[in-house]
Amino acid sequence: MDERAGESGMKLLFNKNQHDIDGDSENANEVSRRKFLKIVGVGAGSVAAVGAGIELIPYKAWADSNPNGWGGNSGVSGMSAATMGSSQEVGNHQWAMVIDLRNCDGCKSCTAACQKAHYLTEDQTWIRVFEMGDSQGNTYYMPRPCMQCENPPCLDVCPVHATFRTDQGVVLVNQGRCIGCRMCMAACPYQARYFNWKAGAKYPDTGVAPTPEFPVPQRLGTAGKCTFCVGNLNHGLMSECASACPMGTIYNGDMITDVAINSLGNTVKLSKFLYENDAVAYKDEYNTHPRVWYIPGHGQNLDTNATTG
Amino acid sequence: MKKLLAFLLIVALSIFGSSLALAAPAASFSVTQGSGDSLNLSGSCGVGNCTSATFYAKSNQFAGSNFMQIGQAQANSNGNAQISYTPTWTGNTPFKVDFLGTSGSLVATQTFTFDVMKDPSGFPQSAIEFQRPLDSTGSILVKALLTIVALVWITLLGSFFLVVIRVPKLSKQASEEK
Amino acid sequence: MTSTLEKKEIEQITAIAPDPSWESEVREAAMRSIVTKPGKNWWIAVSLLSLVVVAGLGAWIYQLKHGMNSAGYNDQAFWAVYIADVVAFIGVSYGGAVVSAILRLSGQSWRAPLTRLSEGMALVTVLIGGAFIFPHLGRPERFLNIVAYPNFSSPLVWDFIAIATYTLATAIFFYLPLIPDMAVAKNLVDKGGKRARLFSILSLNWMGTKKQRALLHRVLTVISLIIIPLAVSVHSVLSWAFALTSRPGWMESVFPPYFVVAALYSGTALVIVTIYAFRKGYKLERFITDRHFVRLGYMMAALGLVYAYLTVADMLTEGYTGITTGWIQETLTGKYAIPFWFYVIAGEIVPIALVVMKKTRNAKGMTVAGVLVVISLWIKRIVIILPAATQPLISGQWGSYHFTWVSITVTLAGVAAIPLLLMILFRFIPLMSIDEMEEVGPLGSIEQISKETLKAAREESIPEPSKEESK
Ligand code: SF4
Ligand code: SF4
Repeated sequence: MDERAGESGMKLLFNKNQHDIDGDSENANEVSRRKFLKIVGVGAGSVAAVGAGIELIPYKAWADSNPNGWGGNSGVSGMSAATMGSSQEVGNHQWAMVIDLRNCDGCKSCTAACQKAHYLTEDQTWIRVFEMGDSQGNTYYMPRPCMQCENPPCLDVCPVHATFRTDQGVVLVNQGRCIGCRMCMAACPYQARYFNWKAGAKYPDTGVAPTPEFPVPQRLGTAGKCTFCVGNLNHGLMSECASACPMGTIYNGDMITDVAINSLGNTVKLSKFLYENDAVAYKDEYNTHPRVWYIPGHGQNLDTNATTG
Repeated sequence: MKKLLAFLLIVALSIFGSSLALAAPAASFSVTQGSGDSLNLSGSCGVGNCTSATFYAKSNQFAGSNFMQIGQAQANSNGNAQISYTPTWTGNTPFKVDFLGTSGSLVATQTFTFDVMKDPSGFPQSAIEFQRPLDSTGSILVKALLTIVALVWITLLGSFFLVVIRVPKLSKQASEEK
Repeated sequence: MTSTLEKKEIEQITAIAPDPSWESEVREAAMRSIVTKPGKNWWIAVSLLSLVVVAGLGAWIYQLKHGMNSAGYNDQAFWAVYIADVVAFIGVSYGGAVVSAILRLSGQSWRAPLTRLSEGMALVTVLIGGAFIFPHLGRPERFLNIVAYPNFSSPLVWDFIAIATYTLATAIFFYLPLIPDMAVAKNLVDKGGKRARLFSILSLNWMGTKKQRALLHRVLTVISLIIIPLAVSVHSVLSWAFALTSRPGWMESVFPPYFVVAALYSGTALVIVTIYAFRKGYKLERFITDRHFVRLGYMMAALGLVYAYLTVADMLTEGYTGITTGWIQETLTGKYAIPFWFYVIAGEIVPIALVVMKKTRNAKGMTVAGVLVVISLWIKRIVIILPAATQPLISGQWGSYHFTWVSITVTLAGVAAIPLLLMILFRFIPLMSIDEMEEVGPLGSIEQISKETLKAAREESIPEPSKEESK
């Protein structure tokens, strides 16, 4: 049985006591799956290599100009003013994700785990690993879940409020209400929306009715997308993709307790981790304010580990 | 001396333990619908010397065939403990409560199955979707536009019914004049 | 001041007794479709078209059962043929509204033989276009959720409101000018029959008194005034379903006028085709002359030039800076090059050439141009929709949409439904607006005659009593 599921396997992952355990993710000691990329010149700092330059908005710049905002000393109250809109209720958690591209080797374990857990078809890559090119003609990998935008365009255009945002900052789809107009697929700048095009997908009898947090079985003719596995998170479990990642690339984080952890057991102070590692928000020029941050890289940590340990 | 003490302790503990074990069936547990989508889980260990209660739930989604912990509460002097819990799945869910006694041993366990009904629209939603576009400026715009639409409908239907009502009347008048 | 003048004018014109021989000719021609029994060809055409429509419904049921994948959709081609159908069908409906409303407002007397057919076409196509929303949806049975839980920030809710309003306006705009004709028609069919009863209900007991005419005229002016901005807004809102997303190729400020002009262009073209078909089928050459086709052809050519201009403006603006040119390359030289250049040739160059060349500037030439425009503008819609929908936003492959028998059959059913519904509709309704034709007279229904001339021309033939009355 999966150890996560044991009776006492419930760890309180997002514990405030862990604040000052700053890890960096360099103790990955198994890198045999590293496939590619040993290229110079595209370090963590060279943001422009990732896309058309403007697509990445650095966390640092934002944090510096919002000293009282989230990640500053005033914590939650600062956040509620800076990033949440003043009249919005703030839930007990604000889930976030960090994807450390320095560790990603493009093995797609995250995609497979997600598809298995949610019984998705092969096309429905709720977390999809993109092969990206840089200006040197090299490639690196970039997993892309739903960004759980704080200002989600998919929510704005949904005609029936089938897309909604919970007080934990997670954007979910109510497949019981969705009319299948696919306006959200047009509006999402990250191609993060997927649709149930085909009848006859096989679902096991889970004994549970689908909810927006765990939309299994998927309903024909409705839209779906990454749910951040928010049910897992609320029960102290990691998201399927994060726990399946052998490299510890994906961190689940909580902006309120300001912690993030990955599958290798590294626990970091979220805001500090983002600040010090030059984290960026992808395509934030669309004013989406993603809750997923990337630490730019091309898998270089895997090389370091291979030689040092 | 030490051995004696240890022996006495064991005897004491076993008496204590057996008395607790006898008391175990007396524990009670019930799950009721709380406000919104939350559930009230309240258990009573029935003996009054419990310290804390740990609550568990079983869901196919997260725990497989095992129970997973969903919360803890301190038992009061009557041995009652209570938590409020909002499940994120639906269906028949077994819940369990474990009571611990003063000495730390398990004093009582009780399970209870509750049918979780959850309306997906009952999720605690952020205010965002209601703010847009119906916040200050947006709401004025929306109202203005809807007013224009309403006026168009009134004009269209109004002219339609004007014709439908007036034309036969005018004909009647005309034929009466003749 | 002006309104009282106008009132007087209306009263004067309506007081004129019409030319009796013209009257009987018009009545006979307009009622041809009602009075004569449908011929063999009519039945064959109707049954063939119904077969296509039924096949389309069957394909749709298949799609409902097997999912939209059977219509060729996938995650990177999430919008394709059905939304193009919605845009194209509601677009051509606009043409009907224009010929009727703009020409009515600007006092073009030659519109008289065309209004009924173009209004009918507008009504039929807006209904079909609206119906194409259903195959477009993954869950059509939940359609009314838009009413139950509307999100007013969604362009689709705007679409819904705009299309509903426009459909209502089109229906009313079709019915009101029909009232006087119904009064005429009820006397021309067998008394006591079902149709006579229907006509007399629809005629509202119309007697054509001065007051009734003035009322109808005023109401029609108001509705013409409403229906033009309404149609503009429908097509703007339709374009915003695309333009309000952040996709390169769609997120463009030129989109609303782009869609409006496309609608006008293809709509005028379909009016030409419709009147040609009915002129041929019911031998209306005496009333719908080549001059009508040429005038509509000029209109169409002008709109075509505006549309070409907007296409260039759109592509140049997007393409020049080079940030988001993927879709332009695909359109000009890539996957969508064939349909795009087909549009350029068959949708712009050839039709405009047909209008420009004197040899082809006749009913047949204009109709060929119209058919080409209607087809290539549907293709243009596909070329607008697909490259932007299938482009990769992050990296990786372009998506692709494959036409399947399901989507083709459903689309063809929509195409077949236009002539089918028109043929059936005009078995119950006069082909031309008898009332308007009688008002403008034989000359006015071909040439442009200003109100003043019309009045003067009428005054010559005014019988003595009404002349006195008007003084
Ligand atoms: S990434 Fe796309 S699907 Fe996810 S919240 Fe943002 S707009 Fe919506
Ligand atoms: S497909 Fe569903 S979730 Fe997406 S916009 Fe339409 S109704 Fe909303």
